[in-house]
Amino acid sequence: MPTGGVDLAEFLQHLFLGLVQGSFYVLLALGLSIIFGLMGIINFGHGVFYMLGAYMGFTVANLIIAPIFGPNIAFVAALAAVPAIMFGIGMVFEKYVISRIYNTDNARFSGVLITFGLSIFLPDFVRMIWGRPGRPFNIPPMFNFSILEIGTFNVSAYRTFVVLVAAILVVLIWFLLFRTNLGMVIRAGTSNNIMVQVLGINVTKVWRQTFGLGIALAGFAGVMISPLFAVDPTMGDDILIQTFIVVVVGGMGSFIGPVIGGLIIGQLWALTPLIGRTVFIVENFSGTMIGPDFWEKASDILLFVVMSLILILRPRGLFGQEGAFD
Amino acid sequence: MLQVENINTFYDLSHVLHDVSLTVAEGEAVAFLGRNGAGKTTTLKTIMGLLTPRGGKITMNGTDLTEAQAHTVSLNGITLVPEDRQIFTNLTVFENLKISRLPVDGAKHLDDHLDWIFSLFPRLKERINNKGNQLSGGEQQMLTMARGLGTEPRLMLVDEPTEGLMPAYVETIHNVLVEIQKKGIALLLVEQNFRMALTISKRAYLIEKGVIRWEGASSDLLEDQETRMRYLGV
Amino acid sequence: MSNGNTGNRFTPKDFWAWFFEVFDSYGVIILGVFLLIYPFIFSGLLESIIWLEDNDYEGMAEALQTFRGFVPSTPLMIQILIFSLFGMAFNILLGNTGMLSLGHSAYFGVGGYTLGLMHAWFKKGTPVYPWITDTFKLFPLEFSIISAIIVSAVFSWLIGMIASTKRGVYFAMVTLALSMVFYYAAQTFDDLTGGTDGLGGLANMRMGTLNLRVGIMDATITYYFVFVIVVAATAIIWQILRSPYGQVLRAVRENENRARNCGYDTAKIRLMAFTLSGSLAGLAGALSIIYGESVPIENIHFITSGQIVIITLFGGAGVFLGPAVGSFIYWYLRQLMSTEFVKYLAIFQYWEAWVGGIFILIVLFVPQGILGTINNWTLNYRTKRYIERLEHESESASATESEES
Repeated sequence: MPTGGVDLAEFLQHLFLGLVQGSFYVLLALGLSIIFGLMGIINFGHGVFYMLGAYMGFTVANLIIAPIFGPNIAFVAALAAVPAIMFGIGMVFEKYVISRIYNTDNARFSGVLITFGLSIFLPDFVRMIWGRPGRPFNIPPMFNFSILEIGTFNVSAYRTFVVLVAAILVVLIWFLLFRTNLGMVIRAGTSNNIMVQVLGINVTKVWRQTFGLGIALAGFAGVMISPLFAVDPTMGDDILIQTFIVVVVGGMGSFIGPVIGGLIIGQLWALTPLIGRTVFIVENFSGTMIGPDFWEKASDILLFVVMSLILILRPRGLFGQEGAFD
Repeated sequence: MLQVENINTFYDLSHVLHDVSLTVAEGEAVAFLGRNGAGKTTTLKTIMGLLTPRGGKITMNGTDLTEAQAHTVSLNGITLVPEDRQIFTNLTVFENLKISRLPVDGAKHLDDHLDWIFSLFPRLKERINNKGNQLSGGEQQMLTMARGLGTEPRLMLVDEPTEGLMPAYVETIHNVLVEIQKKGIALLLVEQNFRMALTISKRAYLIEKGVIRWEGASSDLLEDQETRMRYLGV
Repeated sequence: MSNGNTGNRFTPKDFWAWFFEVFDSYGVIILGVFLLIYPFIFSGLLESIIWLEDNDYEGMAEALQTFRGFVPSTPLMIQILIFSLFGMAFNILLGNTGMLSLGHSAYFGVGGYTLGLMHAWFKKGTPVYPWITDTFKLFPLEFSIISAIIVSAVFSWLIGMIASTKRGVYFAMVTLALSMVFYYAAQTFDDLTGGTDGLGGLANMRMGTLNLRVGIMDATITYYFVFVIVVAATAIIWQILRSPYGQVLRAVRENENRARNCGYDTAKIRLMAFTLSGSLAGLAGALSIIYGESVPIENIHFITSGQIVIITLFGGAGVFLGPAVGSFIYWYLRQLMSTEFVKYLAIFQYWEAWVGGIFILIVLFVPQGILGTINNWTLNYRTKRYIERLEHESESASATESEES
């Protein structure tokens, strides 16, 4: 019979991986939440925009720049170019598709349906252009070292970079929302759109920029995750669901909710497999349905249990407030 | 300055305003009175561009605003002080005031503007860092008016400014309305307290079931109890 | 007054009047008869081709063969029938109660897995309570289908309890997220469900009462088996929706607060509608695995939820038979694209892109769906006719008056 027990290095390793995973959740959930707060639309296309961002990054880095300047510069170029490209794509999509429904009877339902339709359309469209199989995307060579290595605890440079960049972006978004005029208008619009217009501010422009911003964040997350996994047309599916769980747990319409929610869900996702290796589970449940094997794969299921509990106990989420960035 | 000619407004299929016409001259205060549900708020919203009339014409200083959206109307010098004090509850008092200056000058000369606002509403200065949802009803009303003034309007559409306020606040609002008018800002004032409205204004309109029934000098209406009785019930 | 004469002018005689009349009064009957004889039409086509070939009419046989590519096959019609039922179950929520559930794949999938697991269980037999197996072995398919309905009812009730704390778009998001737990569970417990390969090897499904074998061996029998159940379930849904309970559902859609003020427990009504819809979706899911004799894991993925939303909106969410029309269009188009169109243009192999794109256009420009739009035309046409008639009557009335004077 195998013995249970988790050593410190293993625990720290999972903690770190949870932080990396959580960083992606935070970036996606923030975009989703800002769009929802201002426009009242839940963007079901968030996952596929993330996937599209990864493909854009793949194209810019591996196909255009890498052959000339090498993989390091190519990756930096992709990080810079993709948010700009995705910002443009988001604005175009808002202008020509989403803006058509604002004055219809059931605009919020239509918004869900259109973005949902997009999430069906885009993966196949990507297959049409980039081919059916996924594409590999290597970690740029400049990140091929470890910052810290203690036993099995290994802090890779690229993952650290991801966490740092995500942290910087969160601060930048905070700055945008709470220290700039555009952010003030976005927050005001979250509270009362009509009065923003009455003050002489063209809301449609702000909506367009905000939608573009959310999409740019999703696309950026897509580029950042590409070196860790491959680029694949279905990569947006699971993460969309997980992002929904994050905003349900953290609470819609607040700034802190998606951030804390993302970090919590990231840790849950990473730490669940360790439960199966504890002495308790190994000694009592080996060979049963909830034995160590189950816990290896149980992360996804456990997230739903947590979400259900939150929905029952705190329907608005941990930090949710009705339409406000508090 | 403001010309409203024969506008008809609908909510879905129900016809709310029937051929409403009114004018407001430069710097003039006009009272716009009627019973609940007579179409006062609908008229103000239609002028502001929050509702689009089917037929009719709205012009401001010769600019056609009939189909214009609210932000265009606002840039043409009209602002609305809505009845339910729709301040931005998640913004501080300072931010509520600052945001109104963005379309005017990008909030560059904010301090001068705030000096004037705080001379009108000293109370707001004390609460400058409070969030909108921490203010009392009277303070919210003052903030709504102060925010409206930030857009440097030529005409202010004021909807029920004293509704549900303590007498002390009613006094303040009254004084401020007089003060605003002295500054040369025209007023279109909807108010249940007809005596206050008629003392501030020079002219008045009475509206009933979406139709303008009476127009004339405010002083006449103050004396004419029969007309008041018929259209306002007071 | 000569009303008798003027009436003639307005008896339906132009094409549209005729079309709308037939469509309204006999549409359902025509559809029913067509569906009833469909397998014979399809197999008749094949027999004619064989006969033509045997008698050396090569050209005609070839033409007919090409034509046959554009005719939906019997197995495709089985799929269409099942998704019609699924869509109508879904429409109890969307069209009648105004709840957009994006997680109906869960109950569809659970229904399928239940039937599949029950079938496997009957085949194996259980040593613990052999008398149960012995009893139910007499009616394996009937018992499995009823179990599928019950199990999906239980799960949709549970999920409904959690999700109904939210409304509108939140509800859509939460149902979608919650539905995926079933997908991950099917992946995790792969000993039981076959994991990502799906649950296969479900041959020899047998109906005890009629001693019928259904499955891939005989499309026609399977078609009629499914057809009878779908028609019965449709009749039940129809009855429920026109009952007072159905009225209350629509009251909740129009204005939940008002319905609550009228004394209805709207939370309970929403939950009941959700459970009803979920259990019928489970029935559809159970039927869907019979012909293929396997449960693909995609059945429980949110792709399937997407399919049913698309199907319902294609046909028209506000119309009872809308999902049936939508189901036909969806599967027929999908089939045509992947077998016929793709011969001429390779980009038709990416049918999801086409379906997704068309779906967005439908939401933007035809929000009533196809059947809903036709119904609107009917209504507009009749209103126009009615007004014309009124005008004509008043004209002729005034004409008679002036004659008399």
